[in-house]
Amino acid sequence: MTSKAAFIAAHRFGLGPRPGELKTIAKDPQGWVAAQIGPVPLPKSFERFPSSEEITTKLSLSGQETRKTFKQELRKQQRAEDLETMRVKVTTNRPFAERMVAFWANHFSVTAGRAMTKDLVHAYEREAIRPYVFGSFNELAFSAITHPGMVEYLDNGNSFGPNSPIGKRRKAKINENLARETLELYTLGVNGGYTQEDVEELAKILTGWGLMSPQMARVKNRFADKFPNQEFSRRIGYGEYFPLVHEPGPKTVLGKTYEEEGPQELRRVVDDLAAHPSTATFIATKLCRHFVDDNPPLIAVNKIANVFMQTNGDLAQVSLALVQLEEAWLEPLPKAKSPHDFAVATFRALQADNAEAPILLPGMNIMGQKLHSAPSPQGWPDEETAWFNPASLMRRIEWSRQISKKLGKGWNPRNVLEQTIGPVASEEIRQVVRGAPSSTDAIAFVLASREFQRR
Amino acid sequence: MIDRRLFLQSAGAVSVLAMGGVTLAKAPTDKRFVLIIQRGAQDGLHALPPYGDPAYYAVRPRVGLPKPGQENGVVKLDGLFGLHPELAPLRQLYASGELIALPAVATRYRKRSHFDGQNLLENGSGEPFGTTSGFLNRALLGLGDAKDRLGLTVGMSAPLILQGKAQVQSWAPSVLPKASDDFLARLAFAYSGDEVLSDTLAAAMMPAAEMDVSNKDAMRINKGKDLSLAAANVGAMLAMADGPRVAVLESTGWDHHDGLLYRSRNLFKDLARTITTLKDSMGPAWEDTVVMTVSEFGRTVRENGSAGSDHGTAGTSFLAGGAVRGGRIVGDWPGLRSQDMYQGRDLFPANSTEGLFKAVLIDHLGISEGYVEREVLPGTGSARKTEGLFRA
Repeated sequence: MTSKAAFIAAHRFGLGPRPGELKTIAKDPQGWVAAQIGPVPLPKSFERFPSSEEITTKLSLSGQETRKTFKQELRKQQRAEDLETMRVKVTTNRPFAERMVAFWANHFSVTAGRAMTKDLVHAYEREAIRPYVFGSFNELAFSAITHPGMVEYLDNGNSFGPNSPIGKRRKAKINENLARETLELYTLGVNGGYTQEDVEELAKILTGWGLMSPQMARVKNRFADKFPNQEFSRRIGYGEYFPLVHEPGPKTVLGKTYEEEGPQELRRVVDDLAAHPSTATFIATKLCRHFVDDNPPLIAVNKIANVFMQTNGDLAQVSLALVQLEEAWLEPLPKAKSPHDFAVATFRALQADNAEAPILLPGMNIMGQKLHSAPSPQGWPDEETAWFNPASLMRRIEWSRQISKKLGKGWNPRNVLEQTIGPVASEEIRQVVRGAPSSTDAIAFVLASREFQRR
Repeated sequence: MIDRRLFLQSAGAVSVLAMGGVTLAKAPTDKRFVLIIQRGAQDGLHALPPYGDPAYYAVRPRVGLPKPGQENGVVKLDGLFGLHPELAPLRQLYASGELIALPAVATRYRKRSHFDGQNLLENGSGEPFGTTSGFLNRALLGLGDAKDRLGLTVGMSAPLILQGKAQVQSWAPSVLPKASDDFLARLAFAYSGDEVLSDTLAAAMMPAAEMDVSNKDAMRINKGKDLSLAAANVGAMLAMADGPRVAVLESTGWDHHDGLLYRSRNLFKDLARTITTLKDSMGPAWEDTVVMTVSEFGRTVRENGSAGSDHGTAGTSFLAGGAVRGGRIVGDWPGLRSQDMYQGRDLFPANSTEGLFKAVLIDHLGISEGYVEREVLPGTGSARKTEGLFRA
């Protein structure tokens, strides 16, 4: 016998069960999720994909022809990486860890829009997000904010301090985008208690954190020899720091003054932002909205915020507290699955492990959630009002039929039902599946059911 | 008449759907409104060239459009203004009194970020992040019930302007095989008890008058590349007696920092075709319709060094439709001399976008003025409603 809790573990905290998995999970649903907390190493198969350092170097230093060739090659590798990423999600036995990678990649959302962002977004998720999802929040925030992918996405590469050595010799302007989103979207939240002055001061601290783009390579050509005794740039983690464009002097954020310390200033201010109670509440709210309910109960949010504060943002502890939330195990179906998670769940349900991944990618496009394409820095929405609308629901239904036709052969519909939504299946869906005119339709009904669309 | 939604929640849905003829409740108004958002900041001087302004060819030496009558010249409206040549199909609407051109209009936004400018335009609060719902969604709540799905959007998700408490209808062409009515009816039965999914499925099953769209066209529509392809279906849905009443169409790619002349051509062509397609597909409902074009802000008066223009302030809007008292240019013209410009660079915001919105909401759709001022466009007291835009 499987149980409602096994359903919740597999769907809400995971990516949907694979055949037979519900039975295993039912032995200890909470323990099954909790055991997935821990380092999420990059699978070996990803080591062949280019690092952000390789990408920025090749794109900024090579000539136009080689650049073009490299880009074409890069696009092929990115597609291969997308397919590999989907294969991991379909086959993994640690789906909760993958959910957390996706959650944090969406919290620090970077979209493949403009040219360099498109080039870097894969490396960004691999380098800046995955290694930190069960580490400390301040480490995660620092690695995300300084990664060239993020720096490019929010225009910090062009943010030059007017009083910096280079700023005094050319037109220089500070760009506030990264500073504003750091406060509004990544740490304190929009009502977290900061002012426009805080944004401006943080923007000064962020000057110098850039990337070696073709434009920056031109700046280097023009200015590097004018400052012979100073380094032009330095790698710190995956980020790149350019001291000659850093705005000098003390800066004051949230009432605290940070003395001139070059790249260290950002470390210190991110540590302070990570320790701020507004950040704890903001992150706790987002986690509870994602895993518990669109309107998360305040008591659950407070529990998670407290753990966040008490453990200095230890995301392993925070994740454990989330799994142990009583409120998360009450109702089986309050949340809508995103198109991405729905598509992955259909593949897991039918054990479509290898050859079928290419149809998974267009499927997510069709249903409105193309990989690496969140509509704004806020990332993908999390509420059912955003995901269940007439056009998108119809696409989910059509997709269910398509997948059943392509992958459902040889599966017994009744088994598919039991192995995916069995513990919570209504009498109505059972009746519809029993009375379906064909087994292809029957499996499509399971995939399109409210129990499978929700979590 | 039977309310289809109620039926879908009942166990009898399977047989009833096969009978057909079930409809949604009648809409609370016959008036229709279509807003076309041109994302990226349309160059208003290029859409509605003031060819008769003595300064026009001086500020636009490379991208200025030739005078009427010359090759690729402006399509003359009056002695001062004309249309971009690709907008020529709109000339006929102007002649038949169904088109108003509005120069030098701007929202309250006075900075130059696309993202913030669009947010402010769409949320109607006067601040880029003032609220998370869209003003047209709040307007729908003043027009009818939150469940009436009076709003219509193309695509998988509603743009900010239509996000909020009022549920909206959405349409997007599919590249997947359609599900049969029988399949959907059975599924509707399985959704019993789930109000959200039942309602959404019922709306998705509304006769959408779907034309046969090829996969290639479907992809173009879904990517927002060809608005006029979507317009036929949107027009047909709006024309239905029990259909949606307020549609938003999104056109992207108007950010022409360089190559304005050639890069904007297809966009203007698509814009004109979108409006004429709406007219053709709406039939008699066109008489009750207002179509408005809007962009987050305008562009610099002077062309830049790359034969384009940069982010500015005021731009051009059009009002089209059978309900428009057209054949006119409406609004003040600030002029193009340096001293006429906003901050010495942008077209001066002489006319208010919010004033136009108010006219549409109050005078056309019949939403109460108090509700509009309080809930839909708060804090716009100084932006007076533009008077006399519509036929009585």
